[in-house]
Amino acid sequence: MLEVEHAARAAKDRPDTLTRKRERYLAAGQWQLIWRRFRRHKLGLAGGAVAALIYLVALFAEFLAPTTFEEYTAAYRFAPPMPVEIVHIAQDGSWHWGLHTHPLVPTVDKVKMRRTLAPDGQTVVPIHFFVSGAPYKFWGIFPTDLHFFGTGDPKIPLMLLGGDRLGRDLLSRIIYGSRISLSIGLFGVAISLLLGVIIGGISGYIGGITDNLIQRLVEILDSIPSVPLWIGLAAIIPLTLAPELVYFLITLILALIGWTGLARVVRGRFLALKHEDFIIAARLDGASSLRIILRHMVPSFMSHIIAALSLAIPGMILAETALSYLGIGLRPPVVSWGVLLQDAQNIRTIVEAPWLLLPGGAVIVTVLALNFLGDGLRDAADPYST
Amino acid sequence: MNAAFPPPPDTHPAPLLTVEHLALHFRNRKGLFRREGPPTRAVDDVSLAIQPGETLSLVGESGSGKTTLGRAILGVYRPNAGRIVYRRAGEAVELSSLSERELKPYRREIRMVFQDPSSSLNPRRPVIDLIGECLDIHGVAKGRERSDRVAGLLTQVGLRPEYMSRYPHAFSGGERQRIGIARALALDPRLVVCDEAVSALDVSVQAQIINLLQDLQSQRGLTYLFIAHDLGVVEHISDRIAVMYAGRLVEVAHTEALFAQPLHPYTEALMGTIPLPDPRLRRSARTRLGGEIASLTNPPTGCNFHPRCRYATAACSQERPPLRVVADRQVACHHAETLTLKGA
Amino acid sequence: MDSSANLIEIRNLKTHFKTDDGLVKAVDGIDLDVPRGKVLCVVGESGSGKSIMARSIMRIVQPPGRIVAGSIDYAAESGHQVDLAALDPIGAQMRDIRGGDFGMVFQEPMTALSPVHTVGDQVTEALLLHRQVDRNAATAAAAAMLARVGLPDPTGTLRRFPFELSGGMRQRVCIAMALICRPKLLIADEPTTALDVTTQAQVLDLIGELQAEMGLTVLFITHNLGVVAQIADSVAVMYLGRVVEYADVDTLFHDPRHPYTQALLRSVPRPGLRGARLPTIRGSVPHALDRPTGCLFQTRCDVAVAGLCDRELPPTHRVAPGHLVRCVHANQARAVGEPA
Repeated sequence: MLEVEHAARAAKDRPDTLTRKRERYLAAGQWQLIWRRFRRHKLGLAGGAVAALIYLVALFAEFLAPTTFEEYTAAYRFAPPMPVEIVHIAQDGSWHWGLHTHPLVPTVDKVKMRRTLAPDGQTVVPIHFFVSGAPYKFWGIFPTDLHFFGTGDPKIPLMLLGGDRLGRDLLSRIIYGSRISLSIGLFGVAISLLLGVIIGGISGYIGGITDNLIQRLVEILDSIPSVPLWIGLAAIIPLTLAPELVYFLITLILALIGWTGLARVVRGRFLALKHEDFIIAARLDGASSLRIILRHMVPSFMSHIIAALSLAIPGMILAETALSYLGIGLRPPVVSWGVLLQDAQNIRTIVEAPWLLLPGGAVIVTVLALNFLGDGLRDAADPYST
Repeated sequence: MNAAFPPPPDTHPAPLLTVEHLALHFRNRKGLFRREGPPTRAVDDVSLAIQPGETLSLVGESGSGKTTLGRAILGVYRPNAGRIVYRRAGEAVELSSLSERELKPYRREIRMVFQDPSSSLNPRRPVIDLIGECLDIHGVAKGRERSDRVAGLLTQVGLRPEYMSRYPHAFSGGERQRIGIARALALDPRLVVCDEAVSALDVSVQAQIINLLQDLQSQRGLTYLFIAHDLGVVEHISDRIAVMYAGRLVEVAHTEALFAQPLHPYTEALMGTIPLPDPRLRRSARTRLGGEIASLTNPPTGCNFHPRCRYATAACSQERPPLRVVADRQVACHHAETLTLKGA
Repeated sequence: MDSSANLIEIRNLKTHFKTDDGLVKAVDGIDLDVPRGKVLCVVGESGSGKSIMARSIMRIVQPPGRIVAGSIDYAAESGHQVDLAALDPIGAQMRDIRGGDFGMVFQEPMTALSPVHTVGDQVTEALLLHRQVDRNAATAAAAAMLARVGLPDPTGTLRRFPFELSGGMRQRVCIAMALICRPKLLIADEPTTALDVTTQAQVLDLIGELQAEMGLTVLFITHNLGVVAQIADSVAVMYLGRVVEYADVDTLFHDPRHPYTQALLRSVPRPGLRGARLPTIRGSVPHALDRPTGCLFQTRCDVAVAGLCDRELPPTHRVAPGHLVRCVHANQARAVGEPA
């Protein structure tokens, strides 16, 4: 009997007693296996969820914020965070239900001998959802004035995290700022990725003198201390340049220096893969170099790249925050977390209005979430390792 | 398989592929300043002819150059000297002088089965793409026709067609090797180079794959260049055997003739080391081959086997013996006519 | 335990791996005697559990693998019997036994040797740990051992690093390392599989000579039946985590009783069979997670008895003294006319 007939008979004899679970494992591609492993990494999942939430907030910033980033109420300068309560006990002892807050009125703090703002416990200002508020353009296109939540009263702002020195709502500013800070992280890393993969790929695939030259360039760039380099490059940007242009240039600067790490990783993987049997098999199939790179090599290290990316994004966010905090990155009226933190540079301010440090808290939470996500992805990224 | 009585070697009017005085050197850069050291002579003046329809085995140990020679035939390496000539439809083409683009149509006719079933299949592609990729590249089939062809190939190698959506990790070593064979056959080749195709498999699986290769050969009229180090397997399936040592051919003969009596001392030594599966036939230590395999960067003068050869004379260290016709085969030994060596 | 005849007696050993896809029973109920002073070959294909069994004896099974049942009784120097399975794998007693009484040689010499230590450092390490010698004496002993395993220039080699040596030389270094403390037991896990044929022959000869010289007990794991025929005194055949046949080497090759053993022997290419089809074993080894019920081999067995072999594990039949077979057909000698 021919060998194939043997095999066919054997296959028929052996019933496919595979459980559904085993069958799914057998037919699972790379991404499914990675997802399976990632699911078991609790911290990574949590980080991913938080990061996703933050990015959603950034996407719908204008709608979710109680007011716009520039709307101000003069009477509420350095306003402390306003309280939110559910039950109000009126002076006559009656109970009223409903989410509400109290307006802040000037009072005298007898201990510090200063004038401050404090909530007026008797006046109730209800908090509504899907309420009309300060007008804005959603994504810069659709004019509307619908906000997710707010007081609905133009004279009484809702400042859950307090107000800054001009009477602007800090929570709204943080939400608007998330859009800038997070998008710089994404775009910067995207440019780094493009540069890193292309240059690293060329270096690794071609080898020889090209590889030599590129690697020496990488080493030179790497040996320049990054913070002074950023400061130097950022300082060249003229003060009078339009904010959008400044944003673009800052992103470019951060990306141009950040690609080297990725390029090295990509080059290493290319070098290792070049001699793998399945790459030679593809060559023997008649595949062109481009086809080999795109279809065989890149998918092989894609998972590692993604893990590296999710750890690079927080680096970019921190870099932008640092530059803007120092005053040489983005500048007002553009709002990013770093710009917001500029208001907190004054010790006196911090003592009297400590809520102005909260943008730093936003940075911490985001960076932590992305780091945990990156950890989880990195652990899950190589599902073929035993 | 050819008839029992062997005709004189290489007198077939049109061998499928000939290798003429092929040399492959790899450069060595040593030291701080990357000075050129002596090159590694992986293949050192090798001439060979593969007849259509036969199974020619290339046998040797590590460093013999058999894998390098096989890959040179496939165009993975460019030779430093010599030619590789392929005959197709009456005309002869010098493959070694073609550019990568010119070589592409010939890649359909000369294919390879790799040794390691795990590393030769991209773990991130499903089987249908692994086999179908060459169909795409050469524009042979698309869509429905493509999957039908892959299904047919899988059936021919003894796997269920519905497995084509699975990934390599779902298969055992033997099954992966079958996938590799299906891939090699996808474009209806004429010559298949099996680079240690069964060496990494378990004994029982090895037997299945050997049977499969034989069946496919008779069904499709394939020619095999079978690279191996296991003489037991080689004896079972080959028509002719070419023995290599440290980059050089030492003996080329028909299988029965070679095993009945080798004419080269290295061949004799190799046969003396195959452990036979019968405890009553234990080999004594007297026939052991001492020393290490000859260096490829700094080969011994003359015959590169002479330091380990028990029959060596002064002439052996002076002049390199050419591969010449002696009786019914080719041998590279000064003393081929006079030595009486022991067969397997 | 008959400690004069057996160095190690394994009873009902089970080593299981709890993986994400399920429970892998790599070793599932092994009874094995390792006779003192002789060479026992353990033969099996992938998935047979032979390597895991060796590592269980040495207690170096990696998590998630664990010994979940059974005993490994070792006749220690003191005359006592020690159950290795019950010891703490990283405790002092097991470490003493592992380095001082046992030696192990692995398949891949390159990965078994540390690339950043010299050969001398690695070979003397075990001696310094387990025997009371000073550094000079250890170095001298190491040089002597390297000479004994056939390395040219032993003192020079002591100062070299593993990457400077060839594959065969590295494996000899590994053998020297394993034997420097004059252990009682040498476990060799496919030591020649990665070597060339001629080097394999040299290494096999070396192991044979050293075994005779030192009265070593050798547990030699391989899948190559030719190697088994060459050096074994007794053989155990494993399949999917169980021993299916145990006999002395001559009996195994000339009167095998288990269908798997018979099929395995038939599928080895041998001279004289040119051109004929190699008899094969139907189907392929079941996946570790899809183990058949009853006899593990029945899904591929040509003589399986429906209703019997697929229900229960066959008991161990004692065909003759020292010949054990786990099959219902054990007492039937092979049919006349079958190829030897």
